[in-house]
Amino acid sequence: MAIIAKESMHNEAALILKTIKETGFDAATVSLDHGRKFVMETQDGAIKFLKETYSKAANLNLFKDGRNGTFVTRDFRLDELKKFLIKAREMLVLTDADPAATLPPDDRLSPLPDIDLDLIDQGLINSKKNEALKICRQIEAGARKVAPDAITIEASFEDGHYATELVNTKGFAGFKESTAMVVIAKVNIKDKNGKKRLGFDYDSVTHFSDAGDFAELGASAAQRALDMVGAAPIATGDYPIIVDSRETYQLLREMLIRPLAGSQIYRKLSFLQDKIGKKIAPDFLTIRDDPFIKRAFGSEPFDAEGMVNRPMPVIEKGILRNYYFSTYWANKMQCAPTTDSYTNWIFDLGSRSGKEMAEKVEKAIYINDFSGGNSNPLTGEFSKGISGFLYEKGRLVQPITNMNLACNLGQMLLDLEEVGNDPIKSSTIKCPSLRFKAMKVAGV
Amino acid sequence: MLDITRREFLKSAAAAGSLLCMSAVLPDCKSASKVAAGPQKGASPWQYGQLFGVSAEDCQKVLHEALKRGGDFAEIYFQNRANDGLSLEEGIVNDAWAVTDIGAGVRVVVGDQVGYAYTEELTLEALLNTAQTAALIASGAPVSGPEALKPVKVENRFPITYLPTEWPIAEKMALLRRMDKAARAASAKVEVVVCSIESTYDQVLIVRSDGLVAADFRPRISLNCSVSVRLGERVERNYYTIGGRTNQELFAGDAPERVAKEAVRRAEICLEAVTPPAGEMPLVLAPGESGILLHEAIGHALEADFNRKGISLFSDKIGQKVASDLCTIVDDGTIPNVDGSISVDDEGNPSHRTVLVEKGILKSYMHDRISANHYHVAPTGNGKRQSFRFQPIPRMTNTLLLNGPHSPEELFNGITRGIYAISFTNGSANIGQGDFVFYINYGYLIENGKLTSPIKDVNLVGNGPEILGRIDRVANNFAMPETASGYCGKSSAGGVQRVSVNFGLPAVRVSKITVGGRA
Repeated sequence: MAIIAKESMHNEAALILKTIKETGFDAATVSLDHGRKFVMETQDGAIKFLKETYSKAANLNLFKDGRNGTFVTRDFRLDELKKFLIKAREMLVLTDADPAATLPPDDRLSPLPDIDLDLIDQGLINSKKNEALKICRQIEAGARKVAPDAITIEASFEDGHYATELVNTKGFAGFKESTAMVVIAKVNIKDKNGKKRLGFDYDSVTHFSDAGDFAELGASAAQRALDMVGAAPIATGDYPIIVDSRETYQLLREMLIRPLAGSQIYRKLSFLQDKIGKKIAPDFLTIRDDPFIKRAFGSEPFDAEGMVNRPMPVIEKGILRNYYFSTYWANKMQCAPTTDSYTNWIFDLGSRSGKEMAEKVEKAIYINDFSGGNSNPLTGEFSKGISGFLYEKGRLVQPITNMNLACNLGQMLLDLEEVGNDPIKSSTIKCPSLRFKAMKVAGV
Repeated sequence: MLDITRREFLKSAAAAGSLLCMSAVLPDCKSASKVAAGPQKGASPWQYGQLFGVSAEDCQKVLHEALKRGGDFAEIYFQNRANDGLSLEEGIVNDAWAVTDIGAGVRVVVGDQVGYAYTEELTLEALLNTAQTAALIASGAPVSGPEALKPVKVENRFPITYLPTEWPIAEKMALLRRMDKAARAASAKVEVVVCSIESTYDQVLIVRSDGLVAADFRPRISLNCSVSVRLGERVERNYYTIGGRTNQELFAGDAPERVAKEAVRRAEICLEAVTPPAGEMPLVLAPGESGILLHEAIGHALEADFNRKGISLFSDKIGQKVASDLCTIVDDGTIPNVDGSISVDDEGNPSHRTVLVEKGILKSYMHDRISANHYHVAPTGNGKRQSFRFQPIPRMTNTLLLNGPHSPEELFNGITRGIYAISFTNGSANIGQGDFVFYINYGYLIENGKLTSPIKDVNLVGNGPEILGRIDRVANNFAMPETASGYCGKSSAGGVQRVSVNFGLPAVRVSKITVGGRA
């Protein structure tokens, strides 16, 4: 498989931009993405799946006579590219002009930060595929030790190298790249009544040396399956809630990420509209968006439009500070753009982990898995399936499953009682465990 | 060849003096039939291959390379996709998009082991390299590739007259403007209207090491209207979509106005919604869209990959009772022009109607090639994949519960307090435990056998076999949703794969289910 080459990507993007200009477009952004990926999956010691790929795509944001559209092609032969662009132009000129559709303002296109984000592991650039089987077997061995009677133990290894060259007609040119390795353990065990319990754990890093012990990962997945043996729903009622740090992303996606999107704000479809500068959570909740954390997956010098990234407060001491406005939605709102999407969310941490919280509560449901469900970002109504554990007087009473948590997300933010100290390192949303006041949990 | 349309291709095929299996792929296409006026009997199938720039000999070389290290089976999956769309907001058509994608995936199978690689460059050299990579799964003696390739006739499940992507943009824009106008005229409460139209087609060529060659053409089109409505301080949003594997003829007549009005009607119902209840209670599912129950409660767990690994709750249940006597459930990929249907699956097998559950007894799983071999049964036409970047795995097509003996009215009799669920947004299933959830977009409370207040935004939680065992009434009003039911994502080796599916059922009563509300 080919290796990503920065120089050739730069030349390819420049040629595409030149061709766009020659085709008669007024302005454009070209985001050229290349990616190499290797995947191995094993089950019970044997390789079950191997995959190796190299792919590339040009994402084109094109402007003509005040009209704007998005076009994607993977055929860069000059003749084919020209034909594609002519077709795009013919399509675009028939649509309506939209004054909000522009390239980002000049002051957001420079200067690119002079920071080494340390996102590249030379070993992963060349792939660790020769070590993949050994790693998968270490994961499986760790799991087998804890769950010798498992129905199946599966492990997977994936590594990749991903790069983007972004150029636009205002003269912006930026390159960003990252390596990644993801390892996963899945353990299926038998429970009573023919049910099977799946235990799952993963690790993802930009550098091979940052990965945890592979056998421990397998053991953790096995233990998670065993912990859920005998899980059943309990009575419907109001229960204080602790959300394990691994599951907080599922909650925050509905609670903050979707409602803070510029499109939702402009369309007045968010329960957080008109809340800038207002208290939406307790004093101890502070979240900042930091694009410059070394070796973190969310880190990047510029966003999908080419706007230079900047650290940005999201919530300070419970007060909402910013929405996520791309250039388009900012123009619609007649305000300055922030950025199109989050990078890394960093939380002010509390003093104890989710587990330590559970061991001190009178009664609580500790959620370690959300399933399905949805929310309405306009009203904040939220309803989602849950599994986890019932704790009473600081002791684990029983595993629970097949239950449902329902609340209003705006109220849930205000009902936050504690932020933990145990964020997941590999997540871009580095949220620790969260503890909330009692809310409705439906069961039997 | 990236921009070649089906019509251009047909012209070039005709110019070359042959048509091959295109008449099998496009039997109802007027333009095709014009070109097909003089098909050459015994013409080479590789006119379709012309789109991808490959000949029969090239494919034989690639398959030979794929099996150089041994293996039971190999295949090449070529795909060309064209997708475009327009959307309207604030009265102007202010967004346009188009995506083209072309490439080929090579799969090598050894028992239940899979080696997979793909290329976006369709040169013989790139294809041979891709085959070498996929072959790394094997480590035995070379196996010969196919000596001869045999094109199969594919029964076309998507008869259409015109290409959806050849529809003039001005006509699409006019249709979006009609929707916008109709939505705003439907109610003074309407604030935001966003309408969109999307057209896609896929051209697929499958070449297998057992010699089978199958070509397929897959159109898809959808029309969507999303609105928000305000009453005082209260604002609600809802949407309606129609679509399927067809073309713009689906949107003839007053379809745009109907879609817009239905979106507004649904949003206005939500303005009246009360806080949904929490706890166990009876549930009546409306016909059509409620088929998501089948999809989540049993459908995924009957996809045979989970069963051959022994991790599905239904792994050892063939011939056993898994649902109430009232339940006969089929997976049917043969229904014309609907989302979940296929003419041929992504392994080259024809679409099929498979009885999964008959009067409550589990009869069959849904198979891909690997699971069919594992269970020593014939393939069921369920090997599907998101694109040439993925290997096929067992997936549902259209999952249906057949009509029962009850009148719709009988379903409400005797319910003191329950839920009537009409429309849904999403769901998910835990295969091993059999647990599932699905999310109600809107429905009604049932009080003393009557529909009373609307409810919305609430999850239903259950266990597949338990809930299917609690179905105590099945009505005789089977329906499939006219909404484009959309996509289902399923984890597979190498990542989540998204494919289009559909479902259908008559009104059904479940004696009790957990409702995840707050009241």
